[in-house]
Order: sequence, then C-alpha cells, then structure tokens
Amino acid sequence: MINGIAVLAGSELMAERMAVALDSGDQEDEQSCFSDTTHQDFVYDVKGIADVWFGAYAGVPGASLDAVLAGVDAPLAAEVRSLLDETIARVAVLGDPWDKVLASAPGSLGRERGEAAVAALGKLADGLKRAGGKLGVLVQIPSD
Amino acid sequence: MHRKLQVVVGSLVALVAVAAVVGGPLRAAVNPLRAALLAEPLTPQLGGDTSRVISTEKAYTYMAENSPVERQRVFFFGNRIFNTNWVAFPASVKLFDGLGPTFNRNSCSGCHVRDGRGSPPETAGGPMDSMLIRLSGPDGKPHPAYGDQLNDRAIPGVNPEGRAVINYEAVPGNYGDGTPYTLQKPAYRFADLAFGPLDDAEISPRVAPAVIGLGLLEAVPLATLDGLADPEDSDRDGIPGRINWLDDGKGGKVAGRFGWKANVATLRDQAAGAAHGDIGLTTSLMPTQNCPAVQSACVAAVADPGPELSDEFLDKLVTYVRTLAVPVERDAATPAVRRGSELFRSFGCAACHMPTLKTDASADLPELRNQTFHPFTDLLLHDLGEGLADHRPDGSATGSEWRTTPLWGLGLIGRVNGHDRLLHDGRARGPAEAILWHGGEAAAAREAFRTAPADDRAALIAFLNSL
Repeated sequence: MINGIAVLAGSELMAERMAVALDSGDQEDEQSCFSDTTHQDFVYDVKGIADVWFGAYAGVPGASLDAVLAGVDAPLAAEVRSLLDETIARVAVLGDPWDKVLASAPGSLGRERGEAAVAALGKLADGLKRAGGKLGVLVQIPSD
Repeated sequence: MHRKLQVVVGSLVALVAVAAVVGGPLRAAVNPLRAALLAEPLTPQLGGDTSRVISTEKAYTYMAENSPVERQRVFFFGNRIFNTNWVAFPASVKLFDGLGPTFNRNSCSGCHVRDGRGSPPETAGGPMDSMLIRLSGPDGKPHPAYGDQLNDRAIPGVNPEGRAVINYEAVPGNYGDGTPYTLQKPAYRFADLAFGPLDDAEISPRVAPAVIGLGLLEAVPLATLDGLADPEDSDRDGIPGRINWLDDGKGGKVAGRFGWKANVATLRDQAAGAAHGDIGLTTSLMPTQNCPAVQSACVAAVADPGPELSDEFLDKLVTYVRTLAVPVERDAATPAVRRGSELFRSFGCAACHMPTLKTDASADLPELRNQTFHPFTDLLLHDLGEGLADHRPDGSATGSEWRTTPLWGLGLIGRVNGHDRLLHDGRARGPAEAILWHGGEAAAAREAFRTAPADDRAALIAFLNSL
C-alpha cells in the first residue's frame, strides 16, 4: 500500500501526468486531453492517496497507516500529514482546464502553480519513502 | 592484507604458467592498478551507491538510489523522451516529430525495452526489432549507397533500405568431460535491397545493449583506462587490452568507451548517434538527415528544419541514461555463487571483465562521484578471435576486437527482456554459450571453463546469474 501510493505520488502523477506535460508543453502529454477533466483527475488522485493513508473512505474511518506510523514515529507521521495537506492544497488551485496551463508562458501563474504541485508531490513521495523505511517497507519508484 | 597477498600470489602463479607456455623470460611486472582493483572486495552493490534493491521486470528502470530528489524532474522527462514514439514530420506533436526518413525503430525503448537488452529475431527472416547491421564500404568509410547502418524501415513515400536475414549454422563441441553442446553461428544475407547489392560491404550485426550504469562508466577517469591498457602486453599475460582511440573531430584523439567496439566516447555522442542512425533524428551534433545522396526520396522528404531532437531534450535524455541505477547482486552468499566468484578469477575471466572500477571527484553529477562499483569490464578492446570476428574495423578497433562487455545486470535479462541471448549479435543462448564463443585473448579462460568439472561450470554460471 505504501509503495503503491508513493509510486502514484512520485512517478505516475508527479512525473508522467504533470511534470512531463509541463516540460513538453504538449497537449498530447495531458492526462485527459479529450474530456478536459485533467484537473479533477489530479484532485481525486491525491484524495485517493490520502484516503489510503488515513484508511478512510467516504467518511467511514478505519485502521490506518497514519496511526501505525504515529505509534512508531509521531513526528514523521505529523510530517507526512502535513505533506499530504500541502499536496492537496497545491493541487486544488491548479489551473483548469490543464491544457491552458501547458500552453502558457514560462513564469505564468498557472505554470508556477503547476511547478508547486510537482514539488509538493515529490516531497510527499520522499516522505512516504521515509515512512516506509520506518515501517520496514522498501519503497521503490520506477521510471515507467 | 591477507586478501592482497592472495591476489599477488595468484597473479604470479598465472604469470609462471603463461611464461612456461610461451617460453618467455619472467621479467614482466604485475600491473599495479590492475592488482589494486582486483584486491578490492566484491560487494552486492554492483553500481556502488547508485544500486537499487530490485529484481523485477522493471529492474533496469530506476533512478540511481543516491540521486538527489530534484534529479527526478529531469530523469522522468528523459524517460519520456526515451519512450517517445517519434512520428513523421509534420505532426500535431511538434516537439516529437521528425522520424526518419529512414530508421530502424521509432523510439529508444523500441530496442532497449525497459532499458534492457535486445535480441535477434525469434523466427528466421523475422524483422530485426532490437538489433541492427552496421555497414561500411570496402574503403572502411560509410557505404556510398547505404551509409553506416542498414535502415530497415522508412516513413511513407520513402523506401526502406532493405533488410537482413539470419541463418544459423550448428557448431557442435564437447565439454572436457565429454558432455556435448551445440553452438549456433549466424550468417547474414540481405533481402529487398533498394539501392543495389551490398556484396562489397563490411557488416557488423549489433544487438541493443542494456543502458544501466552508463554514467558510472563514463565517469571512470581516463587514467584508469590508460593504467589498465597494456597494448604491448608488457606483463606477458597474453591479454593486451587496448583503448579504442577515436578522432575527436578537432584533430585530436579521444578514448572510446561505449558501443560493442568502444566506438563512441561519450553518452552525449552515443545518444545523438543513436537518435540519428536508429531513429532518423537530427541534433545539433548531427544536423543533416541520414540520407546518402543516391537515396533520392529520402533526400527529398519534407523534413523539420531541425534539430528534431533539441539540445534541451538531448541533455535530459543523457542525464536519464547517466542516472539509471544498477540492480544489486542477488544470492551473493550462496555457496555456488561464492564458488563461482572464485572461479571467475581463477579461470581468468577477471583479466578483462575487471570486477571493480572507481570514479573520482570529477564526475559531473554528484551521485556519480567517488564511487567504487562492479561492472565487470575494463572498457578496453580485446581480440576475441576468429569465431566472433566481424572483420569490420571501427575506429582503431580491428575486425576481431570487442570491448569487454559489462556483466552487471546479466542475471536479470531474462526477467526484464524475456530472453537469454548474449554477445554482440545475440547468437549465444545463455552465458555458457557466450563463454564458449570466446577465443583469441580469452581462449585460455574459455578452455578453463570448458574443461572444468560440471559442478564448477554450474557454479560459474550461478555467479554470472547473480549479477
């Protein structure tokens, strides 16, 4: 579970769906280039990561990785929570539709917000990797 | 200290044996750099601190373990370029068009699947999906009608140059204990040639190698290559080892490190060369389309004014291949692997497949600096005899010289790429056949393997498969 959400944060979402599209500026690199629902994809992908971490879905609480980590390393658990909050906040304010961000000039507000979301996801993946280390899980993030 | 002593004694024993065979005087000195590197302990961290604990089908696809987090950005974009399926110009993907006019595959990953190793066609006459044929004319220059490799694919409206067909001939032999084996030797003929016969061409078939750990190999100081090279065989071990000195295009010479004959000096040159020769992409390094003058449709094809692969993209692609991690060794502690590791040295394999190399503080990327790692190559050219010879010189490499192939990652080829084909043309089915094809400077090591008891042969193979 930890490896799965770390790979989603640090490879699929951060790199393949977001950073690669920002770097190429190519609409073909956009997640949902036909439906134009890319921003919603991002929002719910990150919510999915948080749901897995907190063991909660649709308001129903459950046993959580968050609680397990808090029992082992409370400061790291607090850091991961804060990294999740940061990521959720950064993704919430991303430009919509996303292809307009890809077409915008370097330094534009839309691109800066995109870069901030990429940075937040990278830090989240790193935090999840360290959390995995604390819990005895080797987190590996492949390139494809 | 004890270990060093053992190595020195071992070398002297080998030296006496060689001297006895050739009848020469015993005055050669042990190469101090070679002795020092052979004395380094072998660890499962085959790629030094870049190594990853991973052995899945994606084992070659990870970023170096010690790369800083901020490297991910370039690494993942480089991966995107590596996996890009290029399309003919003009297309809606402005940054990713420019394929051809002639080409072999439309992506890097087409041949280097999951950053891994290619193989010959599975069926006789099948398309070469992850290997190619290098060509030159009788004068050693690119062939006047076909250039320096056969492009078997082309964009619409342009003829592919032709295709190569492999036929294998069975080559039977016996191990020292009488156990028979059958090798297969490839012969090549051409079909569907669009620009006349290739009877006068020198040819060199080449399978796509895996692309892990290349940044470490690039960062090995030239002084190390110089120190290991022994072109006059002054230590009289029968294994000279030469640097492939290449023209640097500016009137000087540069040491080749990459390619089956160490025929390319840097990863930037390698990437630009492959983009140009294999995919048909121009770069600032190779700005003109890959179209010999007689190929009129190729010359006339509408092309992106270029470069089709920008410097920015090329740099990111190079950073990507520089920072691909090497998987750790598996099963290093099992008795068979430990025994195989010892036999690797006593058979003489380590004379060329140098277990340990080092980088210093001068590497561009911090994660590649001051690394001690285990590629099992000396990056030098060795004459492997007539059995493997392609008779096509390349740089200063002769037709029977090949660069020592790195062995790290060897045991994962099956899992990553689903085959066991080895050597430059993929003729060998597994490590044992690859060893049995070694001749020339490696003939003594091959004979040590061939005549060893079956248990020892199995142990050596177990060691190779642990890498």
